[in-house]
Amino acid sequence: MKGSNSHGPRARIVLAVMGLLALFSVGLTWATAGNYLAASTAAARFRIAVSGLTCSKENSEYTIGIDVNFKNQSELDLSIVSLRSIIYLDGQYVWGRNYDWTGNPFKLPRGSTKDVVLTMELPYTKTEAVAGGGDAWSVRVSGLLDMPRLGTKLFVTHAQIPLERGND
Amino acid sequence: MSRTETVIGVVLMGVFMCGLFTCQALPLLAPFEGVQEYGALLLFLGAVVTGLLLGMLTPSIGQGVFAGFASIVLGLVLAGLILALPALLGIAGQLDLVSTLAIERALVFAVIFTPISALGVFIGSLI
Repeated sequence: MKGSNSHGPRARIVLAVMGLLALFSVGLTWATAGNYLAASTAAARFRIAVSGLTCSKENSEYTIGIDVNFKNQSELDLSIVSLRSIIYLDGQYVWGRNYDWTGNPFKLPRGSTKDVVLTMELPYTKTEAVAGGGDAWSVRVSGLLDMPRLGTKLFVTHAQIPLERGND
Repeated sequence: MSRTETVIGVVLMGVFMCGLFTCQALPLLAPFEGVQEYGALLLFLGAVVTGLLLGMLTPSIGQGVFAGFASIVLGLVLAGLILALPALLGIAGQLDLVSTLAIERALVFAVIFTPISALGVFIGSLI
């Protein structure tokens, strides 16, 4: 009974309603995808790079300095709310530190370039490992970037950097 | 004729579901505030409407349920292509705008929405 009803005017009405819904959805998708591509372009113009790694020794404890370069070539004002840096020596985890800037985000206005030195004091238990370690140091810096309309997004960079030893 | 109508219906409702899945995955980029706030609810209603209309179009409940499932899967595939657009166009940077959590959530919704769509099919087949 229902099979015979599905053909004819009713099917055409149902298909017309479906067509209208699909058209509405195409408009919705078009607008959302347009915003998405604009945001993606802005995100692609944000760059972070580790440019240097320094090591100094004070009172038999090592302090590591990580030079980080931020570039915001996008049309949006961005800010970084948190960072986490981890250093590895000879492929082994050495130490990590969190930098929470939630209360006072690190501002990156549009078109700006900023350099930051992230310092990390190593505990005395790591002194021997650092003193006797080789030169194969690597750094991983990750963080949360606050983007307008998108909220916080995760970024990660990884670099193998020669260590500059000072006061060693 | 019935099969052609069903296929057209599945494609149209797949496109419809794609829009809702895209807005649900990127709520802050949706053009309307209502979509931003009630994305999951709209998706729920969209699945019911999809099932309802396909139930009115297909000759049996079984076919309607299958058509509803096909629409949801088609919607997910199309939404996946939209979400992958920056990577496909080569403008992806160090940031992932869509978290894996959003993709996982979309897949979970697809599983949840198939029986909801089946409910719509049942109602549609009674009309």
